[in-house]
Amino acid sequence: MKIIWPWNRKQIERELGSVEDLLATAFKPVTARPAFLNDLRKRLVGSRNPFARVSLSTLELIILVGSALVGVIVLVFTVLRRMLGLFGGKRPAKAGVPRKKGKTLSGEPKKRAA
Amino acid sequence: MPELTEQQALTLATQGDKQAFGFLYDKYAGRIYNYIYYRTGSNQDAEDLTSRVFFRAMRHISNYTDRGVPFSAWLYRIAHNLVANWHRDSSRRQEVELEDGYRASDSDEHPETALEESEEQNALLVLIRKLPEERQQLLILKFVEHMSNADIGQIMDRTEGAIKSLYHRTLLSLREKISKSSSAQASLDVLGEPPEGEA
Repeated sequence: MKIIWPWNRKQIERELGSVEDLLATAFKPVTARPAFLNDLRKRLVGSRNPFARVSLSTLELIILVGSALVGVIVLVFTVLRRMLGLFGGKRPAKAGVPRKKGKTLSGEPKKRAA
Repeated sequence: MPELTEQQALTLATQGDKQAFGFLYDKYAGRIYNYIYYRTGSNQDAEDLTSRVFFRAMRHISNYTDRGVPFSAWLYRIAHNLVANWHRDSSRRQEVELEDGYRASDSDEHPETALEESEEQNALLVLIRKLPEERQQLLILKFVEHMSNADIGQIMDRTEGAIKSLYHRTLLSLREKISKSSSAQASLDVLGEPPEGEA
């Protein structure tokens, strides 16, 4: 730190005053674009706050937990059904197997054309 | 909400009232933008960081507790932290010229005079941005926001006396920088002059 001698003090104070004047002219207030300010306001206040803490009512909580339980039960049931089907359950008819030739709707066998 | 005071708005905002937060936003958005603009030197970055300040404020306002420090101090601290992070992360921090698109200008000045003045002011702002962060913050709060030492102290978490002393040291260091840069400029001017008789 530099020593300020008493005989220099006045001059330094004068110089600091002029630095202050320079600063006062350099720091002009700036204005943000009104469109930007309006848009930001809309994002913050106009729409739903994305950071708001959600507090659920008891009914909402019951519905939420109930739906989750139903979902889990359906999933377990589907998986079990599939596994039982794999280990010896009744197999569904395969697609692409030709059906047995049956009678026509009139009840008589089809006649071949000569 | 025309009859709402800041304190009432603050209480409501901490309880999740968005309109109350809007009231606070309207009051401080311009000031925070100003502060960030002078810390970054760019309109675009100032807009980006101002958005972040208010989103962060909105996210944490429920945790805000009144400890006798003004709400603006809380906002300025958020802004200060975000600007500090921005400076740390940004690799394009080398002497960015201040964009003067939105800076107020005196329209009655002669264009050349205005340009010269603008260049001088930009040079000064470049010098200011070379100062340590706390000194920059102090100068902006003092000259852009016209705050008292006591208010600045609350924002910067220092005593009024410490701010006064820091301000004095900042002016001294700035004076030194200005004299150095002007002597450098003078020597450049001398070097740049065409030799006598050449014209």
